[in-house]
Amino acid sequence: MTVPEALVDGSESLAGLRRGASAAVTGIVPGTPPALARRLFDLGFRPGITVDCLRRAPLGSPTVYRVGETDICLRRGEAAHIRVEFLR
Amino acid sequence: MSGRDTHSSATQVRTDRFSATVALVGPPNAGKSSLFNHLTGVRAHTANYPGVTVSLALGQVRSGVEVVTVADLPGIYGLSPASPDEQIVADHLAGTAPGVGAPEALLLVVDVTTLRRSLSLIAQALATGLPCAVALTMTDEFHARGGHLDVPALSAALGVPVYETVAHRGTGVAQVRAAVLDWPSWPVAVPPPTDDPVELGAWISSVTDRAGYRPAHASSATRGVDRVLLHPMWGVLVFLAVMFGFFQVIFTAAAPAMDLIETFFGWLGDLATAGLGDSVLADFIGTALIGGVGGVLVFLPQITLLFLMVSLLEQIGYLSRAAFLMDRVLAVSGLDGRAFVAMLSSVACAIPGIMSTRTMPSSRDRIATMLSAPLMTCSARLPVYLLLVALLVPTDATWGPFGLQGVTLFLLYLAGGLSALVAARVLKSTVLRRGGLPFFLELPPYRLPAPRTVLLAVWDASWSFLRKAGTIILLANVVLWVLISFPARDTETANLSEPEAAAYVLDHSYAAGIGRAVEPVFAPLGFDWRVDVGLVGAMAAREVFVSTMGQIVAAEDAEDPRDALADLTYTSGPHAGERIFTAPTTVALLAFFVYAMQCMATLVVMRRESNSWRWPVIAFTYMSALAWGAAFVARTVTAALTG
Repeated sequence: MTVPEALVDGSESLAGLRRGASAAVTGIVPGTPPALARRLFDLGFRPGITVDCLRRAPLGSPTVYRVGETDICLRRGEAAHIRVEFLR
Repeated sequence: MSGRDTHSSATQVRTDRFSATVALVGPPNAGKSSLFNHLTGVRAHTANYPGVTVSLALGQVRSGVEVVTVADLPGIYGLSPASPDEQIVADHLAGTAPGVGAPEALLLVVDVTTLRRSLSLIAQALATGLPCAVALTMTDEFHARGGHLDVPALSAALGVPVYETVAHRGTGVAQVRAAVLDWPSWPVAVPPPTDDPVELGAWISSVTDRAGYRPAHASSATRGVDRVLLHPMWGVLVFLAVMFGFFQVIFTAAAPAMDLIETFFGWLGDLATAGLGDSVLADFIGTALIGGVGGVLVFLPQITLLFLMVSLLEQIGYLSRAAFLMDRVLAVSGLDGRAFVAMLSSVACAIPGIMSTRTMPSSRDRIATMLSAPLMTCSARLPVYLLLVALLVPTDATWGPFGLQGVTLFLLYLAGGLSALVAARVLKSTVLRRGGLPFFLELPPYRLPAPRTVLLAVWDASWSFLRKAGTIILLANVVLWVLISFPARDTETANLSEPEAAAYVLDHSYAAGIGRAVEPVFAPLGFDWRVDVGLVGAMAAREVFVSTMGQIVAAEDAEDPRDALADLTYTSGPHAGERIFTAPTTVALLAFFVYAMQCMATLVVMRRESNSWRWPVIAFTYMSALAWGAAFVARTVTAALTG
């Protein structure tokens, strides 16, 4: 279920977002199980939305993201399925 | 297994088959159950924790002769089921849920501070083709944090009526209640495009644009508090302090109340026995019935205190923070951070621990936690450990600067905790494989708890324990009493002193028959039939082992039979005349108590919370096998070490 942080086509996944940084969601990584893709959409990870990486848990996982109006924690495995464009 | 394995709440009422059903559908944490409570006056567990309502509770809205049944469904983020619990909602909407037909209409309950996120669920609900209406909650918080929404415009954009409420205060509830009674007037919306994410995204944007939606700012209070509570160092310190306090309350603060209950029922039992004379009936009423009721009620202080604290922490929003902090640790066991409350509570008693799994959103994780939590060292094991450790380790023995008895006790607790994590891991990778269920956890804004909701949660847990589990625990106590007290031996014991008479009856009881019958099974562990009788007694509660052994050896003080036990010898077989409680046997017995599922009350509660006998049977089987194996290994190793 893990995919590399820097995807084959050179775009990046949410798992690579550093604390304090922001990114715009561009889509879901191809090959993601449909149920997970649907769930991530329902949780607010939708194309065009800005995600802020707020903090990681003391042992490095999971990570809290501000996505739209809510704070959502994801583990690395799930975050790696979200394709993003880092904002600088 | 499916979502049907989730607990059926005490709040369930019989559906009136002639009344229409309106289902409450909404994301976790939207104040759905709170609205349900206000609408129906019936209790459903509500909390500020995503996914807390794990089964559908039914209540009724009445006005004169008009009756509408309202079903409170589990909180969900979308209608395509990604977990067994979401399957409940899908089943219910499709009319395939057991015991209740498909709803006639849907009331969508949405926290307006998360409106944009929730529009995906709203779209999927509108696409079912059922008449719908929307109840927006948390409207006060939304405006306070600078949000803006044109409610009539939202209603026009969605094509269904929209009502504003502050569910936990009851504001706006009267209008919603009137609307529910008038559900036939709700329209069926034009189905939004839900299959294609791009089209759905465009539909969501058009709705928010038409409704003039401006999201509320992130709660600055929540941000500030989280800076401390989720801080790598301060957050962990606060977490440890909260858990220390939590543990102190269920372990220590409940103790006086538990002592009081035990003393009271002991006194009542003695009173009954004395009043009825020295007869079997007197013993039945005094010991089996009154003692049995006491044996049920004694769990109540821990259950009420635990649910009081869990409910407060949930409502405030801390429980999901604690789950966030603990997730990495529990991930080792294949569970997630939400399992830790159950695991921690089980150190006091597995019964409130198992009941607290209600807060976990995944059925599989809930079952895995229920099956492994009883391995945590509960307080009923403590008296047994104290007795056996005292037999094994001299009081003045030390290991470095530490007393060896204390070190041994610590190792026993450690063995229990590690075993629970390993057991969960094994269960999660075999019978309860996760099946691609993703982990996600919403951290809601900190909110003040609603006292009414907290009290209802405590009441619900206590009452459902008494009603559903209490009766079976009482029955089990009566059965054990029969096994230990019969057949009657009045003539044989006529001239014996009281401890001797008790020992004589026990030695010739049905329980002794069982003890002798199972002796070959336990002989490789070094247990003779009298120890086996003690293990039968321990099925009522582990600590009963101590007093049963006390009775068997006719100790003067049945609660402290250590000296009498130390001198106990085998009465038959190749080791006749040798001491029973040698180091290898004592270590084996300790290992047995670490793993054995000896508590019938735990099994009964497991049955109640999982809604199936399958899981308690599995728990009993695997823990018994583990106990025997561990005891055998412990005995063999100890024998090799001590010669």
